[in-house]
Amino acid sequence: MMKPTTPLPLVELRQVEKIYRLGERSITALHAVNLRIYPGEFVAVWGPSGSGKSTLCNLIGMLDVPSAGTVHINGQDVTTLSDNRRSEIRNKSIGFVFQSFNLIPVLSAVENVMLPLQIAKASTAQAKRLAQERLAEVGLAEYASQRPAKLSGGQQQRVAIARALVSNPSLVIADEPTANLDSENAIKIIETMRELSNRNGTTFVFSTHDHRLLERVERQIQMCDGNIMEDRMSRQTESRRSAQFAL
Amino acid sequence: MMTWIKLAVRNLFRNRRRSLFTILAISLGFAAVNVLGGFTDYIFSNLENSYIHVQANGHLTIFKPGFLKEGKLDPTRYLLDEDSTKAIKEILHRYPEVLVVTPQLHISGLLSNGKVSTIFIASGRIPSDIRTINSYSRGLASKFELFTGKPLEDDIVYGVGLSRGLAEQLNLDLGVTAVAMAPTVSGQVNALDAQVFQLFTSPIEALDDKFMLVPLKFAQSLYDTTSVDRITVLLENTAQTEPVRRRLAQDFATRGLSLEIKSWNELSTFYVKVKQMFDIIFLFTFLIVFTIVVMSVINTVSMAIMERTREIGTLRALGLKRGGIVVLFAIESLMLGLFGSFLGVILTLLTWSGIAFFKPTWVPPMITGRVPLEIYLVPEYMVYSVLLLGVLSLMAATLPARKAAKMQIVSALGHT
Repeated sequence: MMKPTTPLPLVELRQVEKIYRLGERSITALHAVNLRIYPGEFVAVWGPSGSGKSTLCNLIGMLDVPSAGTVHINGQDVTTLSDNRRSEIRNKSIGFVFQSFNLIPVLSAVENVMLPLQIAKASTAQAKRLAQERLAEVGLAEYASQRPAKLSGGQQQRVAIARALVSNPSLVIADEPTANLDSENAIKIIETMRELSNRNGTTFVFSTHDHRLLERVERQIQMCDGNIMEDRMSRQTESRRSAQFAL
Repeated sequence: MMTWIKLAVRNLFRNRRRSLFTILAISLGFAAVNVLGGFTDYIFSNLENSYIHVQANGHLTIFKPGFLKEGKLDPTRYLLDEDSTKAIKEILHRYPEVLVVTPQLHISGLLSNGKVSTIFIASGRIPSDIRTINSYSRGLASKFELFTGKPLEDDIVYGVGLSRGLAEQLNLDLGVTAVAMAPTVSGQVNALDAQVFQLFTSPIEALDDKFMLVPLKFAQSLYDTTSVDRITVLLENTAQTEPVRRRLAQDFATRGLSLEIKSWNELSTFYVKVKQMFDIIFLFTFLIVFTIVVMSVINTVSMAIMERTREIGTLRALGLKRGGIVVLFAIESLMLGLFGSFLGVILTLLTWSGIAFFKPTWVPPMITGRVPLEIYLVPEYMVYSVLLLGVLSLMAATLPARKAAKMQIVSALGHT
C-alpha cells in the first residue's frame, strides 16, 4: 500500500515577517506569516488598506525580501538568492499584473507583451508569435499595434495579463488588478484571469479590497494588521485538494 | 539588443525638447572642437609651409655639432669646409626623397649708407636653389609676392635684399648702394658694396630692422671663406622628415662624419610657440565641451530616470537584471551622443561650406595683406570626436543609471 504524500506547494511562506523602517520608527507589515499555495489555485488576498496584502504579494513575487522567515518557490528557498538569480526566476516563473497596468508607453501592445521573452533573450520572431497568441487569448488581437495610450483601462489591463502569461509562468501575482477599473471591467478582468488559470493551470494570487470579486475565487485569504485572519477555500477547491492529498 | 536600441530611441523622443537641447549641446560642442581643429590645422599647415618652403629653410638642416650653441663665439670652428660639404651632398643625393640640397652661410656685421651704419644679420644662400624650394610652396603663402624689387641672382654677387625696417632705418631704397662690413674668419675687417635689389618683410618681427638676404658668394666674400655653416635639405614631404633624419644620422656615422641634423620644427621657434598656444586653446575648448556634454547627458539621463522610475521597477519585476537597466540607459545616452555627433558633423560641414563660399579674409600676424580665412576638414578629428563623445556620453550615463539599477523594486513600482 502506497503512503499518502502531500503535494509540493508552489509557494510556501514560513514565519515570514516584514518590517519597514521609517527613520527611527519601524512598522511591522507582516507578523510571522505561514502560508502554502498549491499549483493551479486561484487565490484572492483581501483586506483593508494597510493590512499587508501588497507586502504579501511582493514577497511571494520575489519583489522584496522578508525581514525574517523564508519564502520557498517550488521548494527552493528564494530569500537567500542573489539579485540576478531572483531576476531570472521572476522572468521565467512569475508573471505580474499591476494596479496601474505599468505598460511601457513607447511600446505597442504586442511589444509590451514580448518584453518578458525578450528579457529572456528569445528571438524576436518567436517572441512576437507568442505575444500575438497571448493577445488573442485576452481578446486583443486587433489591438496588437496600438500603444497603451490608445487603449482603455480594461484593455490595458488585459495587455498586462497577456504580458504576465507570455512566458508560461507557474505563478501570476496581481496586486489590486481591478482597483483602477469600473466594476464591469473589474469583473471581466477577474473572469479572464480565472479562465486562463483554468485553461493553463497557472496559479493566480491577487490582492483586492473589492468584496464582489471574492465570490469568483476558489480561495480567500483575509488579511488584517499584517496577520492572516482567515484562509477560506471553496468547497470545490477543498475537495480537489483532498483528492490531491489522497493520491 | 535591437529591442533595447528601439526602446532607447523611442524613449529619447518622449521628451523631445529636452533630448533636442542635449543633442544640440553635443552637436555645438562637436562643431566647436572640429572647426577650431580645422582652423588650427590651417594655421599649422601654413606656418609649416612658410618656414619650409617660403623662407626656404627646408625640412632638415645639417650643422657641425655644437654650432647652434657655440657657433657665434667661434664661427671658424663650426664651419663646414668644401670637402665636408661635398661629402654631405654626395650622401644626400643618394636619397630619392631629397629634392634640394643647398648650403648657407649666415653672417652679421654693419651696414652703412655712407653716413650712418647699423648692425645686420644676413642669410647667405644660393638664389636659384631658394627659388626651387619656393616653387614647392603651396597654400596661402604661394599666392603672395614675397618681396618688392627684383630677385637675387647667383652670379650678381652684390645684389642683396633688405628687410623693410632695415632699409627704413638707413633710408635705403631699391637700386641704392650701401656698404656691408664684417670681420673675416681670420679676424680682419672686410667691406663689400651691396646694391638693394629687393625689399621684404622679415619673417621674424624682431629682426625686421636688421635682416638681409644675400647671395652665398656675397656672404663668403665678406667672411673671406669658401666654407658654409649649414646645409639645408628639402624633402618630398614633411612625413619623411624623421625617417630620413634617422637614416642620414646612420649614414653620416658610418662615413665618420660628425654632424648634427635638426628638423624644421626644432628650428622654427615661432611654429612651436604658435602650436603650443593653439594646443592650450584647443585644450580649454575641449574641456568646456567635455563639461557641457557630460553635464547635459547627466541631466537628461537623471531626469529620464526620475520620470521613469515606475518603468524601471516594472522592467525589474519582469526579470530585467540590474545590468540590463544600466545597459538600457547607456544605450539612450550613447544615442544622444551619436545623434549629437551626427548633427555636429552637419554643423561642421555647414560652417566649412559657408567659409568656402563667403571667403572671409583676415590679417594674420606678420603678414602685410589680408588673406583668405580657411578651415580644413580633418576626417580624423571627426572620427575621434564621434568616438570620444560616444564614450563621454556612456560614461556620463553610468552613474545615474547604476543608481537607478540599485533601486528597490517595490519602491520603484510605488514611485509617483
